Amino acid sequence: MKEEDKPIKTGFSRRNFLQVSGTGVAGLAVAPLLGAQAAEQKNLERPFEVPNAVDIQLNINNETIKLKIDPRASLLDTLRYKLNMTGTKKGCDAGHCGACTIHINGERKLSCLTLAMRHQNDKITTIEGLAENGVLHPVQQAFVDNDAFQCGYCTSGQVMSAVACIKEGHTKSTEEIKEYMSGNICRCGAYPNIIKAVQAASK
Amino acid sequence: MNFFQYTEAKTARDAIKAKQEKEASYFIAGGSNLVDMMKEGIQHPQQLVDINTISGLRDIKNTGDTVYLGTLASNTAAAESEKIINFAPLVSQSLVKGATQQIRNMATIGGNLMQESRCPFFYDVSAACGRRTAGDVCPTVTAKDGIRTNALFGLNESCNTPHPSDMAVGMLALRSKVVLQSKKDTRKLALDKFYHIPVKENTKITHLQDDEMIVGVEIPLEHGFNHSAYLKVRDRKSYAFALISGAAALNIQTGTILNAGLASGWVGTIPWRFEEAENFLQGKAATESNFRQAAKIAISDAQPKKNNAFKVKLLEKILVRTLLMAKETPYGTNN
Repeated sequence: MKEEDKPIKTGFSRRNFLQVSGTGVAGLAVAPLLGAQAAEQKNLERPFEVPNAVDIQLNINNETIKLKIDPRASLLDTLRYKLNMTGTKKGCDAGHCGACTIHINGERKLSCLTLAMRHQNDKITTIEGLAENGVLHPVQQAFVDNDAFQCGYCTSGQVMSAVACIKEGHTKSTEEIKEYMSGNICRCGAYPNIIKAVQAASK
Repeated sequence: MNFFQYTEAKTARDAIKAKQEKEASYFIAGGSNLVDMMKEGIQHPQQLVDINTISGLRDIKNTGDTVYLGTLASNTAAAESEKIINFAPLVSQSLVKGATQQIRNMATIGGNLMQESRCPFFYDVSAACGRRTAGDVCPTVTAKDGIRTNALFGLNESCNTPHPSDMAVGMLALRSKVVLQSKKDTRKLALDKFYHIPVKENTKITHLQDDEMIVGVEIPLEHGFNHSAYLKVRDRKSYAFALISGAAALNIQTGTILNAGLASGWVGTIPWRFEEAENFLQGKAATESNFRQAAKIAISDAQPKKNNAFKVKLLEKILVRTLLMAKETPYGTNN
């Protein structure tokens, strides 16, 4: 991995933990063979080169990141697979579910329907950029306090959408919250508590 | 998704020039529809010409005689613009019923007008589809009893799926014009002359030429509309395409209709205007019985099959209700 491709977050995220522990187990079994096959292995580890890759620069959560991407890549795939920022979730990948909601220049948008290279002059905010100094954003805290999720898969999209919804001022009534949060589908059906969380955070 | 060339345009002229230089070249603005279709393998652009980089196409203006929307204004910007809410609220009323805030933040005015069908046969690349492949005949034409969502008007031998836009229906009732720029000049086309019924020989449903770009939409204020409403009936309450929608704009002076605009979504293969019903209402009192007669006129040439026959009665009731809602909603009271 090149310097510029390194994930910007350090420490253990859930995903990092799984990767690290997985390597550990595999490492035990493979260890005796390492000496004999080291040279061959090294050859196989040559990084896959993306055809027609483009160099781009993105501003994500107030950090400028330079990276090389497939020109067809969405912001969603770039975040998840190039930058290891897996907080933004991939649900339908077709603009139907809202799980991939992020903020672009302060407006909520669907990262799955974007081309990352078109957003080099934009300010991108993801769920990883909400908390400040280790303190949850009030909307995140309201989701915790109101038990506004079950499986949690849609939650980062719900939270990003809710932050924008409150900023837009579309929280005047339960009906308005329902309408303006309708782009975020929750298969667990945690809607009543999601609405409570949005109401609580909007006060 | 196939590989494509990508270029950013600085002016509309540059954009048109770049688009003409390559085969299968597409303008891209919000991208909410095009990127989706590219991912699904429905569209295979060889080149994308980014028009988001053109300045001056985002403005929403009131010139006194018209309200003008730049083609790159987002659907949210249009829906929440004071100028739209005060002088052409039907645009806002129809826009907020479409899609979701995330998509409205991405989608543009021009893109909304040009959006493609959401028909399942269009989206299934292994299915026959008259809109994806010129010359194909699809189940929306051949199914003996028709298809539940099929259009009632503008039927043809190629594609009978209804046009998906809400905004275009609102704009149609307001008799809006699309402003088209080519390399040489600019022309305006009334929205009902901009769209054409699908034909087998071509996958297009607009009169937009290859060397033209939509630069804006002009909503004339001369009709004096002072009441309007948009009613969208759908299978779920929010974030769904319509089963049928109604758009009504009325110029009512002391109980008399001086001018009426009446259109409907998801009943025509293109946004559908009811001109005869509009003419009937002109000069009549704004009463429920007149609205009922207008709706009867509107449905008189509907062409249902067994599976979408219910849409005729539904359309009639929706038109009456939309007109009643419009009567009760003077400009300045809805948003």
